[in-house]
Amino acid sequence: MKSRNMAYEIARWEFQRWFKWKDQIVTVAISLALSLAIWGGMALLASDDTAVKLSVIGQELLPLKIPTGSKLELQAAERKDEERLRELVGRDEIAGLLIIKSVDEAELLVYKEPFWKSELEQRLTEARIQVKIQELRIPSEQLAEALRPMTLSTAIHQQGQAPTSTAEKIAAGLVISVMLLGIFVGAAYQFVAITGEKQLRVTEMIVSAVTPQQWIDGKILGVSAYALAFTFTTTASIFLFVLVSQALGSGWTIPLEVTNPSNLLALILVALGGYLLWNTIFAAISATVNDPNTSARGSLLLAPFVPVAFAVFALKNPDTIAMRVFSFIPLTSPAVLPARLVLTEVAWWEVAVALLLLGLSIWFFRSASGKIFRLGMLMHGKEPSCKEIWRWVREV
Amino acid sequence: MNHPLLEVTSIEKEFESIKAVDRLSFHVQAGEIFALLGPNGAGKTTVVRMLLRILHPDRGTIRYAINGTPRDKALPHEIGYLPEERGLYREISVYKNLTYMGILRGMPREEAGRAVDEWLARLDLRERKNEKLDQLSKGNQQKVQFIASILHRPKFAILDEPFSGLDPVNQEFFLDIIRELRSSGMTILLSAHQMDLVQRLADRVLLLHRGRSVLEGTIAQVRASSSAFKKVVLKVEGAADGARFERFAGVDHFETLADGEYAFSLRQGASMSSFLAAAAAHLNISDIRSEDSSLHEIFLHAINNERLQSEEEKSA
Repeated sequence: MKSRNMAYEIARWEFQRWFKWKDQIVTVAISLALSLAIWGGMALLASDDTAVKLSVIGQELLPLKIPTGSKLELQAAERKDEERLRELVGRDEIAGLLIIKSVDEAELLVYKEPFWKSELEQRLTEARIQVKIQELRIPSEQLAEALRPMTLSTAIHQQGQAPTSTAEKIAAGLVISVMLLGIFVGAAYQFVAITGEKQLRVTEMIVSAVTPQQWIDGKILGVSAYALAFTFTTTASIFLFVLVSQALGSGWTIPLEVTNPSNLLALILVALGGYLLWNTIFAAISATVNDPNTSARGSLLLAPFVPVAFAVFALKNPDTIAMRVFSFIPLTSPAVLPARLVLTEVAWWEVAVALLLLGLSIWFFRSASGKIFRLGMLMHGKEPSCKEIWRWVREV
Repeated sequence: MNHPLLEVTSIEKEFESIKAVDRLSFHVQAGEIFALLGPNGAGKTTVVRMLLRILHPDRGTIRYAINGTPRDKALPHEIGYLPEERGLYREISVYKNLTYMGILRGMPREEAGRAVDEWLARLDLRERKNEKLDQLSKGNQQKVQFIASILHRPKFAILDEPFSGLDPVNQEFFLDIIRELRSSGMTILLSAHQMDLVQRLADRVLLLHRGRSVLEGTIAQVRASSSAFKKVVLKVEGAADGARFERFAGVDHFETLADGEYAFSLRQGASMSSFLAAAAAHLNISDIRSEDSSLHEIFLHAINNERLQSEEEKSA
């Protein structure tokens, strides 16, 4: 059998080892159930129109205005009723007792912490400002004119980019998260598979039949294919969540930047490249681990957080020089470039160069990892030192 | 020219400060069962790993001529390997494990599947084919591991400790299967420490100690070249004075086997007639039998001789 086919057979084995249709269906079903539960819960909350009844003493000092739609319901009370009202609060029969002592001071008595406190504070402040303006005798028209905000009209050039919407920012955040999740899933499975094979001594059986390079190639391809399948399922779940929410009246939309075919193709290629690169690196790291329970090298699984931390800055401004540079660097491009693809216009050549650099680095790391893998997989009882690993890499 | 199937010439392997294999040479002829014997740490597994190119010898050469043409390495489909430490995926079914191993050895998927079914039926594991490997007993796991090593009908199989974990019934069963494989044309290299089983199976043996060859040849040749003792067991009626036993002609040492039963080890070249005459003069013998030294005893004796020799060399 040709070596290329052998790597394919190993990839197929690795993919089938982890990919279970049942798990994928459960993921989508959970997403559907969650979206229904969240929207059901929100609908229930919206239908709860129980008013917050608040007795107010001294409202003549500070005339409060409650807009329609607010849950606050004020009931004016006399000072002589204060004791009785305090008792009603103590029995939780009214939500609270507000005693306005002056324009500058008021006291609120409640039975439990009031979730409506910030709204009440806002209404009190508004009322106080009104009283103060009246005291200063400034005509309300003049005051309104002075406080009017400056008008700034913004026009986007017809050849320019449309402004980034909240939906796009959320979509970019989700793209970064899904990429990170895919990288972590791949890395974790690679780590579990390789350290497990070392511990179960499967290694000798395999390397007596295929070359270590064929083995690592197959593992990288298989686990990366699994990570990509996982990404598809996760993305499908998110789409389903948004569509169900839309149907239930959320008004959420899926930005066109995500569904645009050329962007979609670029996103898939960058995702696949990113998974291949990180899985290549983690295959090498895992092969040097003697015992996954005690090895400090397990903490290297957190390394993909670094590019994601950079990618978060793209949400603020995706067109800075730093973001453009990070879009080219192979270790950061799988996180930064997808975010930029959703948030801004990325020239085709930028995508092409990023993919080319990603491909070259995968090729280089593949050779280095193959060497580390060959020596590391057959090493039992101790971990190779960083110096030894560096020596192996230099031999590539 | 008829090349041996495997020719190993003066291989050496050193791990840090330990010389695991030291100037070892041997060859394996096509169609024979060749056994590498030795205690734990003798270097058997290191030799096997070098034969499979899992490890590389520091010095020396390993040449295969499985299809007549000498090469440095055997092709995956030509060779089968049963590792000492069992290595299959425990969380995966027996059937999937075995077909995968067959595919890695170059079998087409369907052919691998058919061969797995046949072997599982042969080894009474047909009903367990869809069970995960870790649901099987240690002995059954060993059977599965064995199938993985010969599923693709290699021309040369290396079996490292094939009898480990097997009960006596299955040990006999494995002996039959290995003989059958040899009859079908498979050449087999065994590495084992159960010498009683190996001496019933192997055509030739190589006794290894501290990475060096101690004895090599057919069982008969090894016996002939060994300076191990001939053993005579006497059953004696009445009282016997043990203090006098070692003074009998030719006796090196003796041991009491049971009440009235004594095993005498005679020095190499000692006259059996002189010994029996001396024994008969002092003992009332009711039964007598002689035994060849077992491979185990020959091996222990050879190691002992080697140790004495190296001590003499050091003191000289």
